[in-house]
Amino acid sequence: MKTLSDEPGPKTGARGWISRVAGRAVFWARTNLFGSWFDSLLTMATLWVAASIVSRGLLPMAALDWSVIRDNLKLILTGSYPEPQLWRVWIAVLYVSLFGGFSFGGAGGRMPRSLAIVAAAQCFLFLAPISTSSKAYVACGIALQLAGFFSSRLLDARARAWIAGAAWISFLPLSFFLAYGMTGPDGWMPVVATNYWGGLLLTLMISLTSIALSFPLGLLLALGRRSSLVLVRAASTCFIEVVRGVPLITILFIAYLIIPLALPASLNPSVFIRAMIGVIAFHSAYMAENFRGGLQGIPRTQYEAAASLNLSKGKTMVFVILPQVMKRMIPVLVSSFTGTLKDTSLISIIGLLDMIGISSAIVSNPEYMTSSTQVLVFMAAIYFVLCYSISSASYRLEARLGVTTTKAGGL
Amino acid sequence: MKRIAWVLVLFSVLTVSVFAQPKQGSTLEAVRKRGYLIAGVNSSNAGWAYLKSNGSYEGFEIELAKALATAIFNDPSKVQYRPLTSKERFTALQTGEIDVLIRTATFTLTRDTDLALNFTTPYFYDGQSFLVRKDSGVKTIDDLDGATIAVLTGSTGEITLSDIMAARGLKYKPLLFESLEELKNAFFAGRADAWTSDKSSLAATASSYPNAKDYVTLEATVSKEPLAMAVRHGDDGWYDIVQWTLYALFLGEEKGITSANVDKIKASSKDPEIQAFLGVKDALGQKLGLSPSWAYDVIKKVGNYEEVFNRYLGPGTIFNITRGLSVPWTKGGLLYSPPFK
Repeated sequence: MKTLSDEPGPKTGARGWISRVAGRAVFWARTNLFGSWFDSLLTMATLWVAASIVSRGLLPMAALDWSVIRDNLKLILTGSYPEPQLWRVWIAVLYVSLFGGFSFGGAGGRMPRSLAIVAAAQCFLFLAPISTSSKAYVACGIALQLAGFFSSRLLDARARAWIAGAAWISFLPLSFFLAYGMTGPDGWMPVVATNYWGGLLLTLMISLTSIALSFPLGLLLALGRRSSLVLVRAASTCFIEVVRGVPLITILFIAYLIIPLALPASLNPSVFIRAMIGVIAFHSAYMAENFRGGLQGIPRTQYEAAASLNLSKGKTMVFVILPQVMKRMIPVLVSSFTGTLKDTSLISIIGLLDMIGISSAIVSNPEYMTSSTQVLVFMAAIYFVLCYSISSASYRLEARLGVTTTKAGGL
Repeated sequence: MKRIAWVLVLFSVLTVSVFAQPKQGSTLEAVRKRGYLIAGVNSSNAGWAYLKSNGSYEGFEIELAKALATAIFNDPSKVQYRPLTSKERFTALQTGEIDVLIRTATFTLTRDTDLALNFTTPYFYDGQSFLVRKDSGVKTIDDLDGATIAVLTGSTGEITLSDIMAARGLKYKPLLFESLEELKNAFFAGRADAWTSDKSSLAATASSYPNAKDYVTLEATVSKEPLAMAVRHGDDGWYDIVQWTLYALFLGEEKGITSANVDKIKASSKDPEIQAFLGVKDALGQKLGLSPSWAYDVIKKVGNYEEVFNRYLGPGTIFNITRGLSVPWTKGGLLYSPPFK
């Protein structure tokens, strides 16, 4: 029987193309993978490691029963937050969608890639097995995002900056108000005590608040440490050094145990507030040291130049020094923001059901007792998405401000 | 100007501390005024107290909290659950953050006195033992010489372990864990030779593991672990309510009164104690500050001890925990309710 390869003639058409590509691949492998005996050894070792990761790690994982995630999605995202009140959390999400899209509007002529990625992720979520009402909210989110994006392009840059700034500054107070509520149990917006908050909602509430508050507090502490007033300087230095010298777990325990004993019983703050105080104190001390580093990097001549323009001390700080400090500090700030986000997982040891706390609660349910791998992998994925989006946003910001010339990472 | 500021600060601190003195009111009053009970519970103890997929709490200990809420409000849903770790559970009670602690707390003298707590009669008589691999050949505690033993930190189990090993002159390496989840993963991955905890907890966890038959709990019970509810010192009225609610569950089982037949028994029973118990005559509830039908409500809406136990830990569940001493005195156990007279 005559087969294809027996046919004479020049290597043209699809067959020729295949053999050309194969030839090139062999050549590439020879030069890059098997150049010397040592290279070959390394290649084989790497392949073996990769193969065993796939066969022993990834394949068994894909074969696991992932229904635990679908069944407990509500728990992972919001903890024990009462189901009839979930619309309030959704409003906060929609708010982010609207102003997220709005803020992207200024980014350039065409639709930026990140917005497209977010929209694609939302479309994917829309197809995922979630309840019909959640799908409606997700669809609403996509629509609002696009609406925000296009409406912001109708405005000039100044108006856009003002609106976006106001929206983001009011976001945290607004979401607290939405999540906590205001009326009695029978009103239209009943109070949901913080011990019902959990999962991603709790993680985000604590980490975003501590990022938002440790930033100004850290700046004040750093300035206090450089102050000429002895008392202010001593107090700031003392706070920074004591807090930095103690692990976060200890700070959390102190906050948990000491605050209620120090305060009168009627003021007894909830564990949520106590944890937040601990996390904020810890991160503002670190932030203060970041700022100190940034401040020290500003050459003396900048102060002298400002002084020669007859600027007061305060004006020198606000208009000359701090803008330069901020710009330099973006990479440091981003790494401490992602650190804050991940550190909040420690609050589970004082009984708060954040993403880590909720994952051990889920696997205590008799139905899901053998699913701890799935739950932990899913939690890791959520943390990765959050931290990666923070850092990629900062790369964009750095690029736009011209802080770095080298291209920072990215997948 | 500066001095005025200091005076203002001092003044405000003083006013806050004067007006914010802790109120020594009764807990029952505070709970009634608030409209719900605050119970300190576990959030991740399978069978005993855990979260369902929709975010609500479930389990044997949760039922005890519901019974208490029913006794007070005639509504099992009037409870706010406060998840606690084993380390912070007593502090939460001392600081007044919770009204009652129902979180597998072992009743000991030190806790009763030093921590200023009042424990009720135990709701479950547990005891510490060891879980080992069947093929390890370990049969008695003496076989554990030199073993690595996993234990939860902050539990009585940790202390008992070091006591009994020291008493027998055995060497061991403790492997401490903060959460049951981590401990489980480490133990079943073979990082420890044995795992020590209360028998109920060992049984509950081992049963969930796919290779449960490869593991065995040692016969020996090395400690007494009476699990009891706890309240703060200084409010005897509140203590009585918590205590007698538990007795109501005991008496329900002892007399065979269940949520299904309670209406019939209430209508027909001639037993004077049952009549007093269910509020047919002698409004006993009022002596506790509760409604006359409080015990009837508890049995009707939550069930008696046996019903509650079987719902989450009994033979119908994957845990199938043996009740051991936790059966009514009429069956040779230790669940004994004083007379409802």
